[in-house]
Amino acid sequence: VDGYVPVDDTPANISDEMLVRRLLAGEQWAGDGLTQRHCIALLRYLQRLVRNDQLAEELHQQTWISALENLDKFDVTSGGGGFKAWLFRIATNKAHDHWRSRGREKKVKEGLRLVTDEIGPDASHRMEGAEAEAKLRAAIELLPDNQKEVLLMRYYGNLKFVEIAQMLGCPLNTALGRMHKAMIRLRELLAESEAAKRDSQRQLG
Amino acid sequence: MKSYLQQLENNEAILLMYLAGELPDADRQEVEQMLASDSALRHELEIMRQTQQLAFDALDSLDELSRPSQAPARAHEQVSRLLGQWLAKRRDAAEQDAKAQKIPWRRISFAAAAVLLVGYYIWAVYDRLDRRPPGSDSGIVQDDGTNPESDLPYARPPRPLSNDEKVALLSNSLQETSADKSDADESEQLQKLHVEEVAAVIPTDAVGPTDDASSDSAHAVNPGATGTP
Repeated sequence: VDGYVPVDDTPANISDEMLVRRLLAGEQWAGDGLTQRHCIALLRYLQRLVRNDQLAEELHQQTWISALENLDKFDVTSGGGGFKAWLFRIATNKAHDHWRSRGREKKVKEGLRLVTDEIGPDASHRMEGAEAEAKLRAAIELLPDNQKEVLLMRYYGNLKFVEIAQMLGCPLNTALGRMHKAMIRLRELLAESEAAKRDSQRQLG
Repeated sequence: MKSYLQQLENNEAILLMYLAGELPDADRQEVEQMLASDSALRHELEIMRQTQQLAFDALDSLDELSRPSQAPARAHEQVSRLLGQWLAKRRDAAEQDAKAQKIPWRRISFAAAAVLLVGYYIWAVYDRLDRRPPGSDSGIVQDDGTNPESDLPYARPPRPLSNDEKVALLSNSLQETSADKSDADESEQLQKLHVEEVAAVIPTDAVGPTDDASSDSAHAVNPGATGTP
């Protein structure tokens, strides 16, 4: 279902870290609370990061498996940005692992994958929506990976820049610089797209 | 909270942190003072706010425009299932650990009881040996089973005698026997003398044969013999 949002029925005053403790104590409601809070944001992040819904679902599942298996090692007091930052770091690592393992094939399949992504299901949609989506998708996909990571972590994970810098293992200034460049680049790409649209309309008119 | 202004390299970084609300109070106040006095910086902040909003709106729109997909619902369902499996696995592992670490109280009780019994037996034996007074090894035991050198009842059987002791005991016994024998001889002689005296008073034919050497036999005259020829 589009726009599916699971109901988070855990009290807002219970922190993620408290839920992790309760989950480790074997209480399923705490695990349900954590998944309700972060499941969809994490999936969206992966969808935008890897540009492939099926792969994103696969990585999403792998991320949760890895998180649950290593939950004992999650250190609340480590100052690494809390559970959400930890979860997004695992997801980012999964995506990087995937890219590394597919590095050889990537160049060969890149063109084909982009083509198949753009056709098929999109064709059954409203043209207006599909056109806008294609433009936005294209603009985001054209961002360099390191810039896109920071932008997506900030948007989907709502993570602090300090946390993002810790996750990516880079200085705070670097993370902020990437974010700034991603924003500027995205604005330029969208402006170019708008300009191209105006030109085509003018030519038709 | 530590200050970031010193370590942030440029205005973009400072303004991004300011927009994100991640600056500590002191830093935020300082930035606001700078903005109040610097119109170019205010303009830069406004551009940055719009650019950030544009980027977030683009992502927001992309999520809204994404083709209808079962992915979020399916993904949530998958994660819930994973969570259930993980919890079940964890419970099983915990039960296994609990079984492995369970203290076998029954076995320990039996072992402890056995150790106590053996210990008590050893203690009792050594205690009895320790309580024997020095020199109680003489083996002298009275008829009532007590040791004359000890005030405790001592039912220990006499120890085997050495050869020397046996010889000594035998010689003592022989002496006692010879003393008894001499007494018997003396008694016999006195009896013979008494018979002879009686024979002297009574004629020989009037007296029956005496087959009994006891003194009573002297008075045991056969009444029938009186008239016997």
